Amino acid sequence: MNRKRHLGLQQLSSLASVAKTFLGPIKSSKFIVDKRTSGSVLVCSAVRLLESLDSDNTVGQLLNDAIQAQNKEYKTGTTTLLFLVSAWSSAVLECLEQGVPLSIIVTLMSEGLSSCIEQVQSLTIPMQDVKQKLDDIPMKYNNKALINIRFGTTGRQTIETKTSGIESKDSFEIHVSEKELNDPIIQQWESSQYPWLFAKGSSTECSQAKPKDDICVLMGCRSHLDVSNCNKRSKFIHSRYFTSAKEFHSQQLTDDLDGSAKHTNELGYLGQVAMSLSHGKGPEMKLVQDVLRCWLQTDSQTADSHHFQFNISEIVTCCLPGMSESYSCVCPGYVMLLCPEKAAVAKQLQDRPLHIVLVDGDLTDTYRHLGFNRSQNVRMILESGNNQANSSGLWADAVLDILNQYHIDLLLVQGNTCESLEEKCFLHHILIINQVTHAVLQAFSNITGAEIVTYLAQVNEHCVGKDVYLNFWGTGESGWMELDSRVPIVITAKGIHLVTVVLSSPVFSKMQAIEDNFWTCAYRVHHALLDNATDNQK
Amino acid sequence: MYFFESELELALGWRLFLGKMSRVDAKKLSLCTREPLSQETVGHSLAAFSHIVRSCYGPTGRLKHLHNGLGGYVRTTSHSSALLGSLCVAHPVLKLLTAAVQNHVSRFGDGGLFTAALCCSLLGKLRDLNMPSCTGVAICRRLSSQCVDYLASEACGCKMPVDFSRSKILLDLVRSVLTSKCGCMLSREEAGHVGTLVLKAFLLTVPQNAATGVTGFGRCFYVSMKDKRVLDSSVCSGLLIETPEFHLTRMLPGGRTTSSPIRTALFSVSLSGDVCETGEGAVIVHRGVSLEAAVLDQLLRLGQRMVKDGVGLVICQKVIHPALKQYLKENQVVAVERVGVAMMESLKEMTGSQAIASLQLLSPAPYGSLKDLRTQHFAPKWFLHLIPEDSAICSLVLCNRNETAWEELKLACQTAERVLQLTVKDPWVLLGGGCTETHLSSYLRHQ
Repeated sequence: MNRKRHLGLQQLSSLASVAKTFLGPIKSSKFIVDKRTSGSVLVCSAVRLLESLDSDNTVGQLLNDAIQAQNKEYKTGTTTLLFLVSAWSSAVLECLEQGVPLSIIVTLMSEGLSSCIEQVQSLTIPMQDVKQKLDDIPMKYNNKALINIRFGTTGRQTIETKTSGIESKDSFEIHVSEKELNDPIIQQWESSQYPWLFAKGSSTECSQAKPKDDICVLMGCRSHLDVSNCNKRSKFIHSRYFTSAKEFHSQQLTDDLDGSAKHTNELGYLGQVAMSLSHGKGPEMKLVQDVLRCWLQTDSQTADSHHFQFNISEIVTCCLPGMSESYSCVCPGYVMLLCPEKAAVAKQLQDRPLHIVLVDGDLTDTYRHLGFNRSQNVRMILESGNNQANSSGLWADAVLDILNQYHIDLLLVQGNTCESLEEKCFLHHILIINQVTHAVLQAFSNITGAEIVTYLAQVNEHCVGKDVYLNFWGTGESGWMELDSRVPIVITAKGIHLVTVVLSSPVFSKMQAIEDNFWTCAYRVHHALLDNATDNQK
Repeated sequence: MYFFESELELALGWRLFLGKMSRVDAKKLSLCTREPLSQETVGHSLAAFSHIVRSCYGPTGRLKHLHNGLGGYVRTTSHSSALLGSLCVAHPVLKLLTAAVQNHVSRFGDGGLFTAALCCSLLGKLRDLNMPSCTGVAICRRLSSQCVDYLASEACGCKMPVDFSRSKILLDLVRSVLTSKCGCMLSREEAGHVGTLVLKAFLLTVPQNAATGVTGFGRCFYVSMKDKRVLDSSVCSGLLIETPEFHLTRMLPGGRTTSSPIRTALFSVSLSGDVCETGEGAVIVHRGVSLEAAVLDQLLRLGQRMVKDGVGLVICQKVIHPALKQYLKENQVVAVERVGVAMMESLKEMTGSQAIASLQLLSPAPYGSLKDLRTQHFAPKWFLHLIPEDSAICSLVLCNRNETAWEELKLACQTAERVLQLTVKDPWVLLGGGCTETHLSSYLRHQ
């Protein structure tokens, strides 16, 4: 009877239990295979998983809605959410089987949840304190041991020691100062981790740090194996509370920044904050740091002294599948891939200031703005021998006249462009770039002061952007590169805030995961800075 | 207490049902049924319906998922209007019953589930008693009139007067409506916050000067903010119209120093530049003549006229042509499009003007005015805040966790608003928590 009644809960529990393998920094990806078409997708995040599964039942839909809502707002924490759903739903099922009334379960769970939220809120660290925190958490131990941090597939974080000298094998000790003992975070961590750590430390088995099938040793820690010194600070990653700050300081020194000291400081500080939020997504967070550097540099050049803003809508991504990962980088301006014919036009536009027009519709004869109703019963009468095909040709000529009148070199178009116009524009060395997102149009509009138009007939002197530059991307090293005969170019304007994050991966199916990871990192930093701002206001 | 007279009569009366059995086979004869309530199938469907309604009732009621079998959006609700609106009832008796309940809800805004449950239980009881239906109708009518008389009388022991000089009882009233729906997913603190806002919004919709002969209350617009914390909800006087962020960046004329009112033009005709409907006949045009260009010319002339007249704000119910928008922007006129028909009445009232329904302006043109125009930013959305000189329009920015919880909360707030309005008409409240029902039943027993 009971089993039948809570069918939805059982479905939920089983659906959410897949989240386990996605937890932790070392995830195992999943293949989702469509039995009919035998197509498959490689996923390694809860969002993509639920997106690709078609669950038409009510519970699946609700779960999907919740996960998508979390993803839309924060772009992170979805796997944790799915895991919690699985844990809670199975806990509720167990309670129900033992005959606990539903109302009590609901009350207790909502109380538990709110006390968890309270606890988490009391654990938040104001941004100003983050830097300090990073500096003064010494993890000292007085033997020649190193610490390997391992992550099992269960997501449990375990710490193992590898002793290099037999005499000190059992004398593993961690010094914690008085001040830190009062710190709730450290204390919590202690209570959960230290006992286990001591237990492991005293056993002889642990000296073999051989990875098992489901356990991987982290690369970041491995590099520390050969530099074991007495009292050396160990390096903990994957948690903002244990990230060593030292590395960032040394890194900053090598960065040649022409900005003022203030900017260097700010970058260092923001960079640290960012990296402490990486949680195992190091390479992608590096790119976010580069975005920060890029913006701070722009700000210092334009002498913008106002408060630094992390504006997520001014980041776009450009994926280069098939290229090696070393090509991933951050580039100010707008990077996109051009087909060969357009690249030939682009070649002639290099290295000179261009006139630009921003169009937020299609460039076709028949396109009309949203909300325009075409009249059904208007009939045209032909007077002379003009044939039908001529009308679009006439339109293209009229458009071309306008473009020539204002000496336009480059058009960014949100929609598509009809072929006859494109061909005519090629002849006049005018480059049209289609499928440009609105955020990009807006960024160029902001910096050049050009109004965005819907029809080219609207163009007047207010709608022409000047001093925009076009270059081939990556020309510095090896000439321009080609991807399926498409060529990446970059469009910039002086002081533009828009940055493109170029993401590349030799493995085609990893491309989406890399892009997701990048956005996760960017949104983490965005929200960290946003929350800090609200705290300050209070 | 207003319910059940008319509804019960409808539901209980002996009637003939003319049911078309199938839409495809239209030639089938109409079917007349005598004593439909005595049929076996009616009992089953009534019992099922009654179970659905009763299980939702009250603050500890169970929620229902409404889900299309093909997938898609899931609505979680215990609200009678949402529930009855999406239930497909086949049996004529049930159709009648749901129609009656929906009628009740549209009239009083509250008590839909109670009405439905009461009707079901009365129907069931009368079926069990096996008496002629005319006797049943007479009994019910008598009982209901006794109840209504008692509740209206001075001697009634289960009602208390509403004191409008204090907010406590009004707040309690609102909160009791909000907390009776667990689908809103409100914590105690959140319920308090939303309750205060609803009361504030209600007070803002009370017309300022009754002397002008304004009848009825103003309107409260619910601005939807999904996926946000409930505690971020707020209320403001005037109207909030959502606008895309990119329009705002350079939209408001910087530093409008004068405190003079803003001249406003309100259009109900579409300014999108399409050729107006010609009806049945066809328009024959020579090639080379462009109707669109002609209409656009007319639009731009309209724009020039408005700029000349010093209009500061153009509001259009439908779409504005991009070229006209560009022209207005270049002349520091704010243009708002697609406000929708729902807002038009209130806009007319706020600006004190008529909606312009043609592209040819009369002279003097029927412009209205607004006291001030600002921009508001709530989390991810940007709004234009239209502040009128004096009118009972307010906007309630309502936030909730997700779509379905937001819909539930909006319904609950509307119910609370309606209850408050009815309380002004009849300043008495009945005791809750089943007190009134118990009291009434014991009263009837002793009669």
